[in-house]
Amino acid sequence: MAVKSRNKYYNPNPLKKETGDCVVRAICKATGKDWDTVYTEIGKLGFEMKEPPNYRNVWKKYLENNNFIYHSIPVKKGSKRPTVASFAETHTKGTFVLRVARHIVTCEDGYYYDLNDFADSAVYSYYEKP
Amino acid sequence: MALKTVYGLVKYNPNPKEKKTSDGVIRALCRVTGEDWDSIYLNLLKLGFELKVMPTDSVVWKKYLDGKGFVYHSIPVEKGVKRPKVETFLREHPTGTYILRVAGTILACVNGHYYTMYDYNDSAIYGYYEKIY
Repeated sequence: MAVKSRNKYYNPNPLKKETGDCVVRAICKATGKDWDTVYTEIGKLGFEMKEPPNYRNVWKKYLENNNFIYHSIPVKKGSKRPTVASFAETHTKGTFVLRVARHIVTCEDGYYYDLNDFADSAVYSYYEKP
Repeated sequence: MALKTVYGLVKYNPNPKEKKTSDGVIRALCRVTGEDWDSIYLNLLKLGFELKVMPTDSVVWKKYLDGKGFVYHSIPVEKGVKRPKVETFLREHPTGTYILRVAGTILACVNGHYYTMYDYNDSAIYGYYEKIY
């Protein structure tokens, strides 16, 4: 029996470009702000930090400045990390920004929002919206 | 122990905080335009906002170079033939100002040297921009 995907297509880009703006995209979904606002705010933060705005240090700092709470995912030897799909299944309430390899994706109330389905990507850590 | 000398590499980091971060696009553009890190960052940020893509996206830096008098050269490769590597390019282009596109980043190449923090001599070149004076 096919399992229903918890992935929902989401693209807040004003020109509907499907581009490498996942940091802006994920933060838009997690904060409710529009693309232009998030782009401008992380651009300003990146300038202060002297790092590109989509770099990990910058979006982490941005989320922390917005009171998101960091959670690491310690993994014991021999056990696997949760995937985006399994995380969504077990977190049916709340808003989370998940870090996967070279990407971030927002999960809200049991569904994850992105251009593509990252169901099988391993989650390394996540931020929780208070 | 003697340090290995990397052919053509000149250590270069224009980052105002001297951070070793993923700002390869900004670094390369600083070197070939003579503009400082802050100026390049803000210019790319503005251009990215207009184009609605991230400031270090290839769409942005390509447009930035187009506006600075650079001309693109593709490197067509026949089946079975390997792409040129950075070191080969340096030896064949001892003069001139170029931006080399390699996997994951771009490199500034000026008069037979490339300016960055790491050894890219074995990186294959996918295409390059040449400064036309």
